[in-house]
Amino acid sequence: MLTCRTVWRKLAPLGRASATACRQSVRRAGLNNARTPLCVPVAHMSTGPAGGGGDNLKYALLVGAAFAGGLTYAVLTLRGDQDRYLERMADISSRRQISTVKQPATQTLTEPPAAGAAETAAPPEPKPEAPPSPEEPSPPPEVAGAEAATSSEAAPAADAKPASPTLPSHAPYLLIGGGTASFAAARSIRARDPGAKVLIVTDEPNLPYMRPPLSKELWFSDDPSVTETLRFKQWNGKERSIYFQPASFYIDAEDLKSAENGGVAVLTNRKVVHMDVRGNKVKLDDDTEISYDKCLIATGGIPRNLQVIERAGEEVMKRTTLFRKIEDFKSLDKVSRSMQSITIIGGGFLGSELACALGRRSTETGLEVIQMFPEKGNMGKVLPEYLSNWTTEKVKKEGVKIISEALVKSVSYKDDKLEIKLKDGRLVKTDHIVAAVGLEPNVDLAKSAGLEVDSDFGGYRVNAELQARSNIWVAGDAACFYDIRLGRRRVEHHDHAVVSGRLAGENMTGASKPYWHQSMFWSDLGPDVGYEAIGIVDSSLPTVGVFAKATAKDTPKAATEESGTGIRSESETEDTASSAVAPAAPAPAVENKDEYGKGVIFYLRDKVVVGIILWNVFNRMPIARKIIKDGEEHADLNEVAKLFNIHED
Amino acid sequence: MSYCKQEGKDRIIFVTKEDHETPSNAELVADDPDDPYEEQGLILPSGEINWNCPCLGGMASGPCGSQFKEAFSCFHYSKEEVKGSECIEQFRGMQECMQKYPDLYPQEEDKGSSSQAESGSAAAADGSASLSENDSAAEASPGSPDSVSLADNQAAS
Repeated sequence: MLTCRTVWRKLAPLGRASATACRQSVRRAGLNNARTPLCVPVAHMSTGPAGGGGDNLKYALLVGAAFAGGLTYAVLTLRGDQDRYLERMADISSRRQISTVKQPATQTLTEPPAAGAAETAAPPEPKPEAPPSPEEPSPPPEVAGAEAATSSEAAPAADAKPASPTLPSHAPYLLIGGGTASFAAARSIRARDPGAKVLIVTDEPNLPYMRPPLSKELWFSDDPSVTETLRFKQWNGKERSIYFQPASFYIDAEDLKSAENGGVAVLTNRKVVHMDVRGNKVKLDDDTEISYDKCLIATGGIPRNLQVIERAGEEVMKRTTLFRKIEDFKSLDKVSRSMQSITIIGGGFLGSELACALGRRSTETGLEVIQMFPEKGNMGKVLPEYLSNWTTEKVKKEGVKIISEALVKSVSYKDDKLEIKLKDGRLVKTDHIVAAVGLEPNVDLAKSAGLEVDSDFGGYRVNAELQARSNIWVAGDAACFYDIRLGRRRVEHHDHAVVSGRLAGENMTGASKPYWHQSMFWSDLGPDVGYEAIGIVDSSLPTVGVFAKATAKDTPKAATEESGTGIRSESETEDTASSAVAPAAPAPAVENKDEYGKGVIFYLRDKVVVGIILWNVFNRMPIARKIIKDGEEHADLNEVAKLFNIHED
Repeated sequence: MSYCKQEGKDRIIFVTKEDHETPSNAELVADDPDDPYEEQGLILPSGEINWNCPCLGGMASGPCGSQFKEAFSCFHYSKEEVKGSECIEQFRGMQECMQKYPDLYPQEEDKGSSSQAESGSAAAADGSASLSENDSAAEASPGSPDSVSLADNQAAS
């Protein structure tokens, strides 16, 4: 008992000392949250209710102010959201004009800032109540998707001259580019999202069309007005246009907003020059702004040119065709009828197909057709050497003069002729050049949109679901995508454009499907040589070819007659271009002394089949697709080849 | 007699018909019919119609897409004895719409389009679609069984 008291007396001064020390340290620190539990019992005894003095007060004031500010901001934002929503509904129902007010796209007020932001949010908010004040310090952009679109009511009065009075300012689905991938996506979106409103913006003057006939079927047509009609006849007599759909399929851009069941509208001759990903809008070359919910970039590419030609001057450039579009087809057709000699530089798909097409024409007109390329044979980068050589012989039979292992050193214009000088000294004189040396993917929007460009393959880098960023997908030639089976790649074929466009459309409407259905491609080089291929078909890979002797029945022409479909690839996907060849030469008993009549060629990577060519063997693509999908190591590829029944039709 | 030669990294095998007569012993991985990644046929595993099927061409996406979808859905889910007999209104609506776009839906196929759609639906019930792949019409494609079965193969694989 007594000891307790003694202990207490002894400890009391200590207690008082600690209280003082506590108090002092509180003053020093300012905030004493952590220490309060220790000090509280003592502090209460030794200090008054004013706690740590002025510091506590300051702290309390600060917290209080921040809380009040935050609360105010939250309330204002919520109110503002509702106001904006109501205004947007009013906008959509009333407004037709698009604003040409050039505004910096900095009106995203969604960041949770300090209390200061509440002030900037506040002025736009009371707008609906107050009369519209266009003299706001930074009037917001009018695009319906933007946050502070509050001055929209005032703006139509102020902006008397928009670029086009009827262009939509908002498209739920915006497709940049009007080619195959874009059209396939539009179709997919419309199929999956009833009443979808799709806007296609293209810098070409044409509605979406398919490109393969431009280098094949259109050349074999015997209709003299083919350059106007752009119709080609398939082997079963069924004629069709290269346009995917006639003009009546599409609706006018200005009707897009009000269309009850939605539709697809195409804006031609318009280029998207700037993309604002944060604001979900794009700007066209006429300064129109269009906002979107989902966007597809399907800008394809532009043909590459040889540097020597670009440096060679105006006269040479005037006589050079870079072949890709309808207008290129028209001009080349005209050239082929008026010139005496055309040289095609490039030995790949396009070059060889054009060479064959022109070679065929040469039999009628006496046109000289020359094809030159750095490889040893046609399709040298695709076919294994033995097959490439065999193919080159076939192309020669089409009337083409082949100059292989040719590297162009310089091109000049002399005496009304183009002179092509090769590195090994050979000289070629010609009237016109067609450069088919590859495609440069169009990634113009990468900078403004902040999209990644692939350094290995070119094109926009997208994931396996073809997505680049939240609301942006890329399909077609411009997409460098991740193929789950075959790895990252970029494919420049028609069927890939269809498949990837369709997939992008599906993913834009909510599916999350990766690239899985392997696209195929095909080529015909004359009436005797036709092949379909799938996967990675690169001649640098080891290959195994299994061949049988071909009979007269194994030609592309026979294949289409057999299956009753006019389009060989129709059996694969819907309305892709025909692969059948000219009615000019009815191809009687084909001489097939050559060994490589028909067969299957497997391309291997680490013993796994990654690519297959069906050589003059048709309608078996599903089997090939299956083998690639499995990705198995097969010990004996002859056994795998049996699955194709190459000896049968 | 088959023989084989090697040219650098490329191997070439020549086979006769007899060599390929024995069945293949190559092993293929079994397919999962419900694989969500695969392209589906006309009818999805859930029983719904796959409007994005290539076999439909552009029927479901064109200007008359919604009318087509109504008519075809009605037919598909019809449980009447004569399948689709209660769907006359929808088919008429579809036909009226199609008449407004003669170059998309050629008019000489008038009768063909409705009966085509019906027969297509009947076939679809059996798992194959005979609807034309051509956009410009609901033409009766002259028995293209190859394309149809291949579309199914594609769907099944």
